[in-house]
Amino acid sequence: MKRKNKIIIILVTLILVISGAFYWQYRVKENEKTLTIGLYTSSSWNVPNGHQYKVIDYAIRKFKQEHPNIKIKYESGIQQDDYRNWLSEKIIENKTPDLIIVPNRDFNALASEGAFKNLSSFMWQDNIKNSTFYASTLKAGQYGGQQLALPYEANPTLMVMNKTLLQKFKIKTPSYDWTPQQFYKLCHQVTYSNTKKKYYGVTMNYNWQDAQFAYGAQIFNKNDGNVELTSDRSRRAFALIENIVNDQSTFNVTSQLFDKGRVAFMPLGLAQYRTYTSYPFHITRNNKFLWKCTKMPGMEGIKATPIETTMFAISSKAKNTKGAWEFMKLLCTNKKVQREVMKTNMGCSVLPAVVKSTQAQKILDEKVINFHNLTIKKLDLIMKDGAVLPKFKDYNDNLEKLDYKIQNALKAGNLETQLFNIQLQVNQSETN
Amino acid sequence: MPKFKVLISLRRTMLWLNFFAILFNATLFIYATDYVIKTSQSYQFLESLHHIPDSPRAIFGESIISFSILAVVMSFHHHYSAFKQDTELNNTIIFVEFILAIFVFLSLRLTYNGIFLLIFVDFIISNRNQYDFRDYLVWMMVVVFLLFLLVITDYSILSHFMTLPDLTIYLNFLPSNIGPKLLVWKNFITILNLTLFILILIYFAIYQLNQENDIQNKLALASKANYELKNYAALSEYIAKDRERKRIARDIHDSVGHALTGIAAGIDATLVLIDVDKDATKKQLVKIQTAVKEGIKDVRKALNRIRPGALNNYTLQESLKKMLKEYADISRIKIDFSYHWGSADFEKTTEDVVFRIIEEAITNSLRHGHANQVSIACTKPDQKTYQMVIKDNGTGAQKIVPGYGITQMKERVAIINGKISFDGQNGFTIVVDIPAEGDMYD
Repeated sequence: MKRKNKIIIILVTLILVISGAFYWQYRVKENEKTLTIGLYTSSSWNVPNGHQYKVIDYAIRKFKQEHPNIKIKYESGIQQDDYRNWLSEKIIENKTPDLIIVPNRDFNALASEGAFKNLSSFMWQDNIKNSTFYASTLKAGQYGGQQLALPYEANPTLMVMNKTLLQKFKIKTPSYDWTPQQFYKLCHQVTYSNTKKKYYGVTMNYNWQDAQFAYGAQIFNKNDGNVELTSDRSRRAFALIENIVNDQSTFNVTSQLFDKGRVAFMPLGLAQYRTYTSYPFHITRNNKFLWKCTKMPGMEGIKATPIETTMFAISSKAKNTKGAWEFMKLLCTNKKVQREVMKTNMGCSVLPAVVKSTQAQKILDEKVINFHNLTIKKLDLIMKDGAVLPKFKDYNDNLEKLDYKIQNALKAGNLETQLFNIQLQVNQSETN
Repeated sequence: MPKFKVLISLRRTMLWLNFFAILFNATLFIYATDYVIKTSQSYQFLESLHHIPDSPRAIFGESIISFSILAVVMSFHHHYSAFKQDTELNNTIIFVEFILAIFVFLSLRLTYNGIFLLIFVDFIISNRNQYDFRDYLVWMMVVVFLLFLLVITDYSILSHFMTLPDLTIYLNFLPSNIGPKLLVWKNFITILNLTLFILILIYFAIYQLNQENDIQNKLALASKANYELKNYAALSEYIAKDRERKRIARDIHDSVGHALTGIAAGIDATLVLIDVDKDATKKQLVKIQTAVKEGIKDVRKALNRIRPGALNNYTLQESLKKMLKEYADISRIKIDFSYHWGSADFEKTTEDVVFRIIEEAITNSLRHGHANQVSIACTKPDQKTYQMVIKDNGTGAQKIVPGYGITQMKERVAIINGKISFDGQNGFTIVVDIPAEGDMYD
């Protein structure tokens, strides 16, 4: 009787375990047949873009040639502004797509919550070296020492100038390696020119963060994310901003003013620059001056160019990890796909090999009206100059708080005396 | 009077309460998640959660399935009598239940640990008849383990060691008129479960105490009866002894007494006659001789009446076998008997002694040693001795205090000029040496 019971119990358990294993294997096989991707419809860089899914569809076609059995699914029509909420919903419902597009600003929060898979082992397996990508774009996908996302496209900030205006003041176009001091000198010269019309040095979207980058100040502590505003470099950067604001005595130096030809310099994203200097958007701006662009000013040896990076990451709960990695590899490292990214999305490829190729020059020159001044060589230099942003969970929040307080102090004209207070306030609210 | 039935129905109520609690907790996850999505708070929710949550429907499914398996195992456990007898099997199934409870606990993302109380109740109810279960140490250990379990499975502690979805965060995102109410209900169910648990414990303790009382009463009754029986046995033994004593006295009086009286009278006559008539004296002496012989015959007859009846008609070996078989039949003792004395022809007295010593030894083994096996070896180590070794596997005795039995054995052996020794280590051993014919004392 007892023996019989034991045998029955063992048999039932065995049957359960075996059928469970079979079901599991079936599920895995089924999952490998489909690959889901999370995407948004418009361009990452807020520039008009007629062909929403052109690059992805191109990549999918290429992918299908190698993996005809995998069906790729994505939900279309999600706006970039809604993307964060859409993705959160999917994560909460545990319906996260296998492969997710991740904008710069969302990366830290999602990474800190463990939404992404570590890619190191995949990269090691497929022998993808770090030098394949521009360093700062690759670093944008790192969190806590792990590579959680691969860069897909980048949008470096350029310093655009009104060449006509500079010639009027007999100013030579600044060199590529110009320092913040030189930059300030030129701004000062333009702002203090005794002309009938009031001219300005730089638009106000050259902000205090750009200045910090220029001096290479680390305003966030790498370890705990605490704010450090009183270092020597930081103070000098704030002094630069204060001087510019004081010289121009107004905050309303807008890009419209630049378009009217009244401002010498304006920081602008590459995607915007390419869009507005080419057909058809150049016409709408109706500029009557020559555009030229250069690198953002920076101290010698300091990487001062802010680069926005859009990345792809594999969901930590992905059902088809292998497929996701294969497709991600195609999107981020395939030269043809990357060239298509550069061509269609107006930003920059994240692969030096693509940027340095002659085809890239053709892409840059496409439909450009009059201004053949951005060479691939320059672009390569700019991409290599990318500043690395700190990585911690509340980076966006803290930056917003800081920005609000600093802008207010700048407006009040007492930034220098307020710096220590601001630092204290932000750090305290951080710990609370 | 507490009834076991009530205890069982209390346990069943607790099982249902736990089912409800798990249903409630699992539904909370679904409800809160749906609400968060419906009100587009996903991003804020995700930010305050600090990590990627699991699918609420998966939580629901997992917890309900694992609890159902647990409930099936539990009812199987209680309705199947096999577990009630086999301690090991019973403990195995309790262990399986415990593992399943851990599964339930994990699948509910550690938000409800009341399930362990249910397992504990199951443990005490199914182990109520175990002897060592009444030991305080076992009790203490189980209680300490339970407390430890309840302490470490508390969410606020566990969340420090692993990433867990905090149910209170889910509740915080619900509208302010619903969230706190649900939390109150959740706590109420938990407290209700705890109350039920305590109630069961108290009821169990009362039930157990009552049972103990019952047993004690019955034991007292039994010991009283036992005492009376002992008295009766002592009395009857005394009566039997008395009767035997009277019979022996009568025998002696009838046989030896008559003969000796006759002899005494005859000798008186010869004393008078010896100087008068030698021939008449001789005749008288012959008469006295006959009387003496008659007397001896009578004494033998009387002695024969005292000897064990068994020895009358059989050889020693057969008589012993017969007696041992009787012993084996009426008690559970296993007797190993080996006889190597061949066809040795002993005096009747010697046979008696051997017979009585074996009888006494087995009785002692049963009564004092609680043995269930006795070996008796009758060997002849050399020409001059017969040896008998009686050994049992009972409790033995560290120090041998000679009682009536042992003294009598010694006396009996001394009669036939033999030697006897006792050993109380590793059971009880008696070695008897009997001198061979020739040296024997008649």
